[in-house]
Amino acid sequence: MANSSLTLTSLDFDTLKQNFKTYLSSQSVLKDYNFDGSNINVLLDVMSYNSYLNSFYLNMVASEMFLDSAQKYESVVSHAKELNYVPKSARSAEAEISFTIDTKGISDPLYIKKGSKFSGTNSNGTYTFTTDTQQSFVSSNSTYSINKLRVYEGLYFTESFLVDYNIENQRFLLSNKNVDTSIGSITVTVIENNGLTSTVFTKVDTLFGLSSISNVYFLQGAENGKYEIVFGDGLFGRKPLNSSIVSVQYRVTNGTDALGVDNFTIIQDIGGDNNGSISSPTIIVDSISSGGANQESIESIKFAAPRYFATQQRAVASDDYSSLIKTNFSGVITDVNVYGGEQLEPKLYGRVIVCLKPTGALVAPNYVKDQISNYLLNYISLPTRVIITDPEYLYIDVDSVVQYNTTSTTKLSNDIKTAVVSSMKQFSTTYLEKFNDDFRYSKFVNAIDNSDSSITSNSTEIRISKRITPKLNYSTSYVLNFNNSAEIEKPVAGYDPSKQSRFYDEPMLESSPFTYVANNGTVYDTCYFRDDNFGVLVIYKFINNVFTIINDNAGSIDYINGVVKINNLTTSYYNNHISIYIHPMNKDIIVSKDKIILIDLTDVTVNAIPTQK
Amino acid sequence: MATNLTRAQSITGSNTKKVEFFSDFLNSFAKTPYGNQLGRVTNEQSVNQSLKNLIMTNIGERMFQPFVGCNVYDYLFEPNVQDYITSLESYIEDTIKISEPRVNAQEITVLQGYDEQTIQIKIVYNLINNPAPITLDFLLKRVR
Repeated sequence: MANSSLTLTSLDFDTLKQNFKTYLSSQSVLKDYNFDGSNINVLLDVMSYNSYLNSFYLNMVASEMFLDSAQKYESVVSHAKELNYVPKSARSAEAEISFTIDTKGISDPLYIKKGSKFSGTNSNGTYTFTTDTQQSFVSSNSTYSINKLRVYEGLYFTESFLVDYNIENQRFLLSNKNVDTSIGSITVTVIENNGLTSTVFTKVDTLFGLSSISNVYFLQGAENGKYEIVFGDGLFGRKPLNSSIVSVQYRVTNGTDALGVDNFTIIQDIGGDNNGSISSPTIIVDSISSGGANQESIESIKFAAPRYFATQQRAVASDDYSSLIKTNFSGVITDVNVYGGEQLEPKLYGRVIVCLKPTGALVAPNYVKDQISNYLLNYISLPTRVIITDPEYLYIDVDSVVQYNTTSTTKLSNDIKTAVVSSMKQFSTTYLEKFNDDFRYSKFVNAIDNSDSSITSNSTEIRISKRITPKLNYSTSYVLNFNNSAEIEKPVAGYDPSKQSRFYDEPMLESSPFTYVANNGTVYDTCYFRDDNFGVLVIYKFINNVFTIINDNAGSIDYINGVVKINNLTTSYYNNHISIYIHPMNKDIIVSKDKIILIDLTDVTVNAIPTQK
Repeated sequence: MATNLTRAQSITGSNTKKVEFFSDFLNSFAKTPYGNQLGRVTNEQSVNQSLKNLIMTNIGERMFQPFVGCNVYDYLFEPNVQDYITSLESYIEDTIKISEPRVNAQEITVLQGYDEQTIQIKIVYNLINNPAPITLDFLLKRVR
């Protein structure tokens, strides 16, 4: 029968000791348990301490046994291994550079070998970028134009292992934890027969299609954030011969530290590599370094591993696509939204739309789309079903008047403005900028109020805008789906819109200025779009401060569905883009499918008004 | 119900069992001469043993008990002068106040040993339930 005097529910030292004292209170042989100097009290200390240690140990063991509660990296990796999930490694930032070199003594082709080094600098310091493959270039006049050469941050290292099957459970553990394990950055070569044969093994994730002669290896997470190479067992995948040498070449990276590198110099002696000499080139950066990532955190592994497992090595449900892409392109892609073509207008039945939000840019480069498309080939039965698209961005145009109490702060108006703008940017980063992240007006104005403790209130108006960049002097039509209804005049008693004239109200649609080229070729600068309050778009400008319509029917707006059509727009100039603004019916802006909301600080106007209370 | 007399009680003829207010087992875990049971000390012997334990325990020595003990060992290489002796008396007094609620300390005396290699500690106290003074006298001496 259980002893009811001994309670074991609490696990801290003091409670354990008190439990022992309570237990001893039921006997009279040793009464001094309450006094610190007594021997029985010392004994209780020892017992409590021992119980405490055992409790802690058991608690830790139990905790580490499950993926949800494990705290040690090794435990989490081990549980993820059961789900066939390899923790994402650090990823090299990559950039594209171009340069032209004059050569002496070099005949075609000019080689830029794998691992050729370039130095790049950002605010974090100087980093070395390397090429990941050998490339060749030809020229007719000893001048070589190297265009859009892809370079990856990090240095290549080679680690060798001697295969010895006398060693029980021999492991091929890569000694550097910052290795980039992405496709192409690890090369595993097995040298056998005393160096007579050299075989490159390829990485696989499943046993599917493997035989005893498949030259493949598996990569799995190991202790301390490292990775290890695992070869087949001779049945699924070939075992390297005994006494062969396994040579692993991999790239070690600094992850996110090397993002945003926008100037490069050449380190590699390309001339020497080609038995000649070259001029010192000026390097043009085609795309600054992006896509770098640090090793996956424990929390991220806990989140991703079960979801990756749920894909079961195939892409069928939309979550499968998202999980596979996020797992393998984490540094390059911030967010993915996948939906069926039946949700499009017009409908595309049987198609899968994969919409990508890249890291540090608005639109993913084509090579990234190609990489993802090729990667998905292994997981889908009908590759042509997949359409990879770019997101459509909705911008929030903000006009905020903030009142602040000068008696509770020493800050000036500009300081308050800066705080509010910073808060808006933070709001955008935290609550927007991803698929399906809606804009919630009340949270937004609350964030403005909380920008500084002296702010007493704010009056904030918003518009939503889309940006178009028409080809200059070329007639272009657009259909812009704002996904949200535009504001329309609410009918009141006795109100008959049909009896109103055009432009009876404030415009619900506006635009930034542009130079309009009319059908007859006349050029009008500083023109704008607006609606006529009846759903028709006009192009107008002010001539001698008089509102003058240039094009009476430039398109239409469907106020209810938030769809704007612009017909045959020809422009000869605009500043970066033409923004089309609408006043939304509801201040909460809802997005779906390929829409992402952003707050661009160029669209933000803040006025800070000092008050005395 | 009949009371079983111990052997000592049967020899001395005393069958009046002494009331035990305090009881503890011996530092040495020694067994009783008869009965093969864990040896115990009771009442003032138990308190004496407890006082000696407290004084000989370093502060921080007991797990999760950072305030139990006395800093006697800190005086090991200090000059054998009156200032330090007075300070040591004060430490012992504080220790008794903090950790031994069964005792009213009446007089605490620290004396040099006759060969100047030992410290003699003499504590005169009474138990809280008995005004009769009890003297605890023991030596601190080097172990080698």
